[in-house]
Amino acid sequence: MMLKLFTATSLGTACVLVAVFGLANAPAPAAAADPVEPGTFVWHDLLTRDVAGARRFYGELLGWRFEDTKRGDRPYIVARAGATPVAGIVDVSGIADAGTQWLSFMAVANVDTTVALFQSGGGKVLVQPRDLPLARVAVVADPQGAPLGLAQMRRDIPGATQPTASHFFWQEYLARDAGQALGFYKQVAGYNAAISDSRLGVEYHVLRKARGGAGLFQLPANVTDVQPNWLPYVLVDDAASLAARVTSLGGRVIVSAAPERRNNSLIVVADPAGAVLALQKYPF
Amino acid sequence: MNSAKRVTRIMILAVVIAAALVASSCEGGVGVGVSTGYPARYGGGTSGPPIFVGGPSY
Repeated sequence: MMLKLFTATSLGTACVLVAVFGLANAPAPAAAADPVEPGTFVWHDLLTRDVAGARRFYGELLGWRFEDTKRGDRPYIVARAGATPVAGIVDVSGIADAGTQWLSFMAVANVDTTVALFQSGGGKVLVQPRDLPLARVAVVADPQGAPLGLAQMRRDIPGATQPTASHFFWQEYLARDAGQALGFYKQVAGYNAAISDSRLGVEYHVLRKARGGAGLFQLPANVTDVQPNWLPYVLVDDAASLAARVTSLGGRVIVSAAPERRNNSLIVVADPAGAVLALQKYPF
Repeated sequence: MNSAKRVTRIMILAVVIAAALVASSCEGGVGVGVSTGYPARYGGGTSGPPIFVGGPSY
């Protein structure tokens, strides 16, 4: 009887362990339904040569708090807004060619086939696909050179479905060739695109998915010092009033608030090391 | 199987499930953290495009 009880208990325990730890830690086969809808932006990493400066800047500006963790033998800092993890900080000071920048990660159905799509479209693989606990990830540069992280999520991550202050809430593609980028990202992520605004000779395309979304517009021809990129947006209560704070913390305001730019709701800033992101109030 | 043994078995399973759920809810694996050498897209963050039409839409 004891043997029977032990066997039954052991089998039950094994089933539970396989079900729970297996889902959490082992590479998963392609799921029938994606845990996160492809095209959703799921994570942001700051690649920087000044980790201490980044902690000071974003902690003071956005109220983020930081947790020291490791990825393998390398330090990795997780930033939280309240209790929610919102971003990571990676030290790239040991990499000669690395520019300080925010790297956004888009959910895809299959990292390997998506990487192949970027390659066949003229893009480059910057980091080959690899397995992490939450996702299979890769980093690519798209056909216009914009860097982008790809994440095949194994499960959803906590996050608000509506914009929340001090969280990333929007993503914008600044294109050299808007038509090419639209076609490419429709293919990558299955976006539905619609023009929401057209002024000053610039069309603004909203890339829609069920959760969140993104925008896309063409860089004016006379802007030559900005290359195509995915610009991340953090929600703030009053972007215009934060401009002075950005400067006092050692950052730079590179696009200031103005009535013609979304009704004074937007500023684009560079942190002390030069990483660029947008701060915006929404609705505006 | 008598009721005492059944209760013991249920308790063991409950402890295992609770431990597993606590472990799986830890966020030690959150984030990505891969590094790559790729030039910045803003020329050091000294200027940005002056035109921002449109905007977020939920």
